Amino acid sequence: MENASNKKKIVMKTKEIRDLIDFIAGTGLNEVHIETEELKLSVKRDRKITQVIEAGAAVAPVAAPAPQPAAAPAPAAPAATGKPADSEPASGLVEIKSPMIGTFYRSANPESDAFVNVGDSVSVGQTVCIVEAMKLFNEIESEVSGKIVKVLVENATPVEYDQPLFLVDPS
Amino acid sequence: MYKILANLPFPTNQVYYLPSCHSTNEIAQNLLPAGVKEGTVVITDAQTAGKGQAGNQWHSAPGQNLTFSLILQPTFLKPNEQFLLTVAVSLGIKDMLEDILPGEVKIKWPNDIYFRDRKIAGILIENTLRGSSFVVAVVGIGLNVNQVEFPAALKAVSVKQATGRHSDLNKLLNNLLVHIAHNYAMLKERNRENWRQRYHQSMLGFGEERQFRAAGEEFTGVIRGTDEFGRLLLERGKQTLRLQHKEVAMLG
Repeated sequence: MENASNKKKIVMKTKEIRDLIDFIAGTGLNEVHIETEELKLSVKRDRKITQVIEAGAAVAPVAAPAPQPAAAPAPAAPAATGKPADSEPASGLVEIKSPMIGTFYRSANPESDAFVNVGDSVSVGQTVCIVEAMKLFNEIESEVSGKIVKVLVENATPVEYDQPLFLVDPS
Repeated sequence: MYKILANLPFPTNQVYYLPSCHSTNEIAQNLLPAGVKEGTVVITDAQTAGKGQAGNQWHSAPGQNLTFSLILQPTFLKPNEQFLLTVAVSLGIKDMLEDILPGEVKIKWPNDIYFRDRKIAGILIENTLRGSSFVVAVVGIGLNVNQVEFPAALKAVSVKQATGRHSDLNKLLNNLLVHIAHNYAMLKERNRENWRQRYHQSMLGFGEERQFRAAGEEFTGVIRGTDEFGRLLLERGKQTLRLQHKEVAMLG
């Protein structure tokens, strides 16, 4: 019943397989299994050799990964975020604000280093802090690139919605 | 071996199975840059450093329980609405368990699932936000299934202990995902208020007089629900307190 109702074909493309192998290579994992309705894939790492065992019927042989032939749409670049023009603090500095109420953390855990310190350069998409709210943990990524000028909140203290957390010099 | 047979409203039903790993949330986070889709599940038989709340480790015997992470992309939510994710996932787990344990399952605010007075499941959600936009949510879930011995201090219980029956892990995983997906779909509906009410009425201690500790004092209070940020609404005498989870403990 489930098989008949699920018409979506999920065929793993060579690119996805390559991504998977890259992923495994980048971790300490020795073994990964993936199973969907159309395929069953096991990847085992034996020292430096990566072995792909293809047991399903739907996958093309993967010995020579070729560029993905499908007419892939051009990667939709997210609309440029642009420089925020709203409520800039004095002297051209930009604030990174808390998107919620919660508790502000400068590092992933008490043993690790702060994500960013004063003087560090940050780029768009770089994690700058964690705000934890009701046991939801939020990695906050920077929307701007620039240099951290000031950290405005003490580690492990409560923050309000929209409260400025960092001052960034975008120039 | 795990396989998603249920027809879920996600663009993928891909399962990454790891015989053992540190933490499925961590593996899921590592997969994100490769562009994995909503609905991807990372599951393991043995989690060696599973994250629980406040640094507690999730105690799980290998191959006996469900420990997995589900990748969601709730881009329709604002970051300050994110407690709704906890609501959706908590209700999904509760609904699934209610099918086999009717009337006995409660949500211990904010994100633990209890059978009577013992913990049967836990949730750890890790979001990535850019500015005021959601990028992705990694929803880690641990459900005690066939394990029958736990350290006493944990006050834990399993489905097997509660029902007396052994469960098929893959079947339970599928049921769980169906109920979570159903509740997650409701996040997109307008009628969120009724649905939040359902969460409130499922709360352990809801509407009952219980002992709490907050701001260094012990007192009798009554849980009245949560506010829009997920803070506990706790009635104490004539006032209603709004508390984050670190600010309050329910003593019994």
